[in-house]
Amino acid sequence: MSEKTEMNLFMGPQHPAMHGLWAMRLILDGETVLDADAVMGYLHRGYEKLLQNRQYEQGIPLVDRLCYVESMNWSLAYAHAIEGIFEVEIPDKAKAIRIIASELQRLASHSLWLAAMAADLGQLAMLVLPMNAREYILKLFEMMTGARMTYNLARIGGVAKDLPPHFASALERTLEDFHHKYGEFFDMLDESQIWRMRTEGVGILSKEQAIEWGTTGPVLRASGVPYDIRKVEPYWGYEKMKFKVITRTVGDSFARFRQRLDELEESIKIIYQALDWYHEFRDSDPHRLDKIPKRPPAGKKVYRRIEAARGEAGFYIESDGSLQPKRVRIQSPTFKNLYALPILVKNQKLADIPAIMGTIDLCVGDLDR
Amino acid sequence: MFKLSVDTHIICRKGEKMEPDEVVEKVKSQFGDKILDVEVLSETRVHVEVPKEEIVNLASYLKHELGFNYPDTNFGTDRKDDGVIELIWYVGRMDSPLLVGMKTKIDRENPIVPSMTKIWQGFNWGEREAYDMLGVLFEGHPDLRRIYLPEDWDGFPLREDYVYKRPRYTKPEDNDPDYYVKKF
Repeated sequence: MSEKTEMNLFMGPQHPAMHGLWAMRLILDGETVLDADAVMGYLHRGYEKLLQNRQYEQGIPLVDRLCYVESMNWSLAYAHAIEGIFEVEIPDKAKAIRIIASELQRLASHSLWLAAMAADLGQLAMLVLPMNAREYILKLFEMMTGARMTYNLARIGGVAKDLPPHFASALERTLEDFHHKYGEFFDMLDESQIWRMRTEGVGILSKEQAIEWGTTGPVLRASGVPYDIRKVEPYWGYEKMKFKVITRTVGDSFARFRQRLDELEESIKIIYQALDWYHEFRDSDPHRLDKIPKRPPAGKKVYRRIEAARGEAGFYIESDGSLQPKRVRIQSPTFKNLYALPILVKNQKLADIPAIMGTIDLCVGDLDR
Repeated sequence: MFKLSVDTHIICRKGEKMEPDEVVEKVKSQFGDKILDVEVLSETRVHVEVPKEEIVNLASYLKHELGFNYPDTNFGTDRKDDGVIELIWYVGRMDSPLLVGMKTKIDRENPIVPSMTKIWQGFNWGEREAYDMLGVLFEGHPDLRRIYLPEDWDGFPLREDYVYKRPRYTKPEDNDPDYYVKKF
């Protein structure tokens, strides 16, 4: 018998704590992780090639399914990039609707994140409560678009439909309720000894590491870098919205967890302001441009990013003058954040892996594309 | 050129205000005629193209002299008509919306280029993806292997002349008649 105490563990793709379809090869010594390697590609659908073989409008419903948890942000991001290629500016009412939709999607996505992460760490009551809160937001989306998950609301030049007549009152009621529920989530977890023990001091990502490794979104901001694309490079009228960029200094799992909960509060503020902005233009602006050029100018290159719930979602499009793009590159936040994970889990215990992985907030849809 | 609807000066909170023309001027004064092409796409996007031999010098100049320490994204584009694969690495700074894209063109038949992982560690997986999808070999990459497709996949999908070959699954005994004898 050999004296080796190392064990190879394949934390495989079909795993309830993996947040999707990807795997990790671990080398363990007892409970301590010696080495980790991420294995992905189980959900690779060849999106870049798909989008290059379709016309611009045909890509929009496809892009919804990239990260299906926050699909509104992705189709709006693709439409945003296409509008850069076609060199059109969307009307103000469409911008307000896009902001409302994007921030509501952020609320829904963070609720799902919290449910998944809490369930991983054993707090099963918090599996159900955020999912319940998310249901009310999905009801709002159903009023807005007709769908609960992959919405196809974005169009080149605006949005597909205007907000329905009684949307404003439904939105205000839901947001008040959600704000109250969010207070409950906070009380359940923030004051829980077990939660704190499992997440404080675990997976510390320093500021220099966060910048060097290219992390983005809440992971970057929880390590002390105030980089939020809604402030750095505003789009759709975010420069008119008043909100704070939240950062935390420690950069451990608990900081990333609190970071996302605090961002929910800022999102609610943004939605109220966007709703007021929408009401100014409700009767005067169209929700979509009438005329868009059929073909974009040849040789035009555009790289546009938005702040999705997980971080920076970007599209680089290069056109060659025809109806289909020459090159589409999908820049995914999970791809950038996940690079940090196998390095962070080294020399941690096996049980810390869900604590770190949960706070990085993976969605394998946009990891694999 | 698309005009941003907001003044970018307001957004840079600390550090130097980085405007594209400023960066272009500095890069040109350092590298002179080694630069093949400069494109200012908008107020926040600049592309600088250099030949493959100069890409490491340009990278360290951007990181150490100009302070572009955030690796944003990198990828390649296959241009079959010109016989080249064009690679681009976007880098940025934490206090500015400006992204500089370092571009280089490499030969399709001999796609070897120095890796940027020693300078910005965040480009590690992006270069693995460029190898996986386009077949670009990065010299000096610590771990160059396929990232999405299985290890034994044949071909590079994002190339323009890629044809999907339906895999032929063979059993081990097809190749070796004594397989079961040796096994047991």
